[in-house]
Amino acid sequence: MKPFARFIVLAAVALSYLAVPCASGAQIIQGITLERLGLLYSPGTGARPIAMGGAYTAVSDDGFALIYNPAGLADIRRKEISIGIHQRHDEITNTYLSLSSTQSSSHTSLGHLAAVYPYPTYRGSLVFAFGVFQAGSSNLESIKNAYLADIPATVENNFIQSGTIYQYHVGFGFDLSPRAAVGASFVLWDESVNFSEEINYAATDSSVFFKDDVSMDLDGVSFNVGLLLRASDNIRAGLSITSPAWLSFKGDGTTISEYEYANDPGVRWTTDPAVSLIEEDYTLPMKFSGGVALRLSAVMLAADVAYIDYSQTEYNGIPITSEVDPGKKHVLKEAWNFHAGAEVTLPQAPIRFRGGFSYVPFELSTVEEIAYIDNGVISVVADFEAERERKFFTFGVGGLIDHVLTLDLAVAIGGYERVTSGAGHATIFTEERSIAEVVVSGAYRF
Amino acid sequence: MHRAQHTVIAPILFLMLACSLAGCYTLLKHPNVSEGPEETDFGRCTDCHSSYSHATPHNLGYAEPWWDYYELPWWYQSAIVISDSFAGKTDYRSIIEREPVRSDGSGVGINPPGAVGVPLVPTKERRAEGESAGEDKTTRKRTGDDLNGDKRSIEDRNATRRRSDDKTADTKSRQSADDKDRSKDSDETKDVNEKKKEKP
Repeated sequence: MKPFARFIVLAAVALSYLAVPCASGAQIIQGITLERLGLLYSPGTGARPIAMGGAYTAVSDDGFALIYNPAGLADIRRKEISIGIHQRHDEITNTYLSLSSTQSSSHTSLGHLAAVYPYPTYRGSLVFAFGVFQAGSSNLESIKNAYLADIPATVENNFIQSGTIYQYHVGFGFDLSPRAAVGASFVLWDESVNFSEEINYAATDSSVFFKDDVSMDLDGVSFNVGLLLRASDNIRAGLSITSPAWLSFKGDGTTISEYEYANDPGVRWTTDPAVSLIEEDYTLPMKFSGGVALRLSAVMLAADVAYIDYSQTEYNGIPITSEVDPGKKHVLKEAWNFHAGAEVTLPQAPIRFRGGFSYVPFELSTVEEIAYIDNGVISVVADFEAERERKFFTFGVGGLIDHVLTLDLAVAIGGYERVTSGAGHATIFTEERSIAEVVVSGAYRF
Repeated sequence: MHRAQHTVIAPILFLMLACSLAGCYTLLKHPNVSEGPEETDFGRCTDCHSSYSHATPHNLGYAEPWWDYYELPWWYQSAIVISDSFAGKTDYRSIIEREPVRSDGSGVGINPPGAVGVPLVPTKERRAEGESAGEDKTTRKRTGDDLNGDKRSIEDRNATRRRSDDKTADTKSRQSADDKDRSKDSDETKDVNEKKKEKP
């Protein structure tokens, strides 16, 4: 493990540090904020796609085509209504200088609700669809404890955030030829995010309690276009392009601080609540996804690869670059994601089993180790090394009832581990996150 | 959000492009025909065509029992002759699955994988044949004997189908001929019965 340069960033305004960093220089924190909000990682939704590891660009032949590949809508021939539910369990273990804390949380949310209408045709296909889909999750609960020997002081960071990123899609797909179909969808983003961060800091001569409550609304627009090629009855290939996502955060936050000094015991000094308004724009870069699907009798194999160059992410129209390391131009980096899955259909039986794997490496190279108080909030950040990249193993089962109703279940288990090091390769900070997600979907075709 | 205008313009351009391309292959209306019925709808395909293969989409590769969930267009229900004998059947989807969408055994068209290809003849002909054979119109499961019978009659029916492909008029005239045959058969039967009555 090679050593990484460690550095300290002082965020002058606590609110901007926590919520949407101001343009005064907290560029690294902006990248961290985007990751915390779940905007850099979109696992998608749907029991069938998730059970297949997210390898769905070439498979798309149901309502989930709206988010994986709109061209796949052209392969839907019956009217469809579908709904899905997500249950997600997170466990985060943070270890800073040998002090370890573990926090578990679970969240249940609507996965999707969609309707598909194939227009009657004499030849080819023309299909319209509408739906709201869970694109990502901002739900996050984390605790960090530390003993800062050089001050000396103890510090505890509590971070609780809730929110689910939804995308409203309206789209269509149609056949260009017997072997080719195209599609497109227009996307509106929506989310309400609430988070609260508390910092309990205790030095030898004083203690400080800091709290920041923030409420924000996310609005945004983007669009998807897709292409589906049917090379043969057994081989399909898909290509999906997601436009840049133009996102806007609006909201407000309130911070308070309480101080107590050792030489004046029993006297606490509390600041007036400081209210700040948030109005920031982010632009997420384009995403390119390609996939193939091979059907071998009762077995279908699928694989996807996706590319996103997150270094093109912009904050108020300006790329997010590091303010403390001139040599490191961008806080975010490009990412290649890989997905693979299989579906086995039992002969003459309305049951299918699925399995998959997804590899979604980090888009960010920096992590916040700890935050404490010293005439304001100080955030200690450092480059990390991925001890275990973000990977998921997925499983699922689906059934067909009376030829009209499908019920699918998917389980995704995975997580990651990242480590920062100091001089002599000594481990400073470790963040380990385990994620278990259960998705249930039902679709009715008539 | 000034950049959001791009997201409005781009889909509109794509939609315009899509609309201009859609007519290249995907057809929402039946092409004008010089002969045949004035009104063309999904329920009368077999008035002019010997099979659905011209309009059926490609095979997605799903086997039974997933076939009709994925493969069969919902509007084909109107193309299916749900005769009176089917009314009241609760298992109507199995009727949809087995009865209307059949190929001529050549593999063209949409068929449930594994399903036996049964020669398709124009609906009116099928009705006429059923009536002439004194067959009950109600749906019944096909037996091995039935399938053998179908195999034996494939060549005969293919010949019939080729004729019906040429012109609807041929079909109509053939039906007229069939009707005449049936009436002739009926007359002959009547004569025999009358003779039986005379014997005692």
